[in-house]
Amino acid sequence: VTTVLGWDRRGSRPAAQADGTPAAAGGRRTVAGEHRQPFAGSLWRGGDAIVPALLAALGTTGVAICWHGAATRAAFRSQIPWTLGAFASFGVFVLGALVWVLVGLRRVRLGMRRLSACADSVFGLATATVRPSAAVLPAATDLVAVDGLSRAHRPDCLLVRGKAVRPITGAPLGACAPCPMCLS
Amino acid sequence: MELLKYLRLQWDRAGAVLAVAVAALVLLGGYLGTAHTPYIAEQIPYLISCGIVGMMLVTIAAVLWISADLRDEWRAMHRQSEAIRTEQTERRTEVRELVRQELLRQGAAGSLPGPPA
Repeated sequence: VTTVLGWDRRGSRPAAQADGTPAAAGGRRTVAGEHRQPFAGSLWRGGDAIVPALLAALGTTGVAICWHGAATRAAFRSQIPWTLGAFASFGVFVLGALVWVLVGLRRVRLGMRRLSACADSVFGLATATVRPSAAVLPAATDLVAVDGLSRAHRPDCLLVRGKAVRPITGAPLGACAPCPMCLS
Repeated sequence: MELLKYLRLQWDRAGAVLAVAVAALVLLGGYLGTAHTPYIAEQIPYLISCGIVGMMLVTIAAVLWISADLRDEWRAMHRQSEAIRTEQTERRTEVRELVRQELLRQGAAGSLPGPPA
């Protein structure tokens, strides 16, 4: 089993769902709203170091070889290829370093996205806007509108308090738009 | 003692500082080597051995420092993840209790949900 607390060893996607079936493509959480431990352990896993280490070793070896090649030549012209080779080897070394950093950056970015999704699933209820469905809207006959305006309000809406109102006739809200405060 | 503890905890940042210091020494050595000979053919090996190796050390220092920052970020996310997990468990328990009370109120105690998975 290559899973670590519900996530695969690379930590980039969930390995399997709770019932043992493979995880859905796109790296969704194992169970809707279920929060696992994707951040346990180290940021970099053992396999992540292979490519950067190979590139760094290749670059270092190249620089050493090119230094030896340039140091054993007495003429500047014959040293030019070795010098260029040394710079190219340095580029390979930097590439290895970039791969290492990019793997870490990518994993942190993915982790932040997943953490945000988990937080939304847990705390979403606290911040969700509750909108009544049409089924629980009061009957149109219970609604009122201010004379000369075209918004439908509940009779106890703050926006119509103290104002001359008329009952709305017709269904469902008559010709009125719902009040964004009391009917949203 | 405190310094040793700090170095052990911040080994990557300490390594980065050390790499920069060594890089400065290597680059200085390369400068001295090239400054003491008027022949380009004798300066090129210094350019490669000291100049490029110095830049490699600076690269290593940068990688170590960025890695330390990323590890800090990862640990912070781990702590937040644990907090969310705890909150989720508490909310689940709370919802279960509410459902249980509601079912008891409706006299349907026989169909109570099972214990948490």
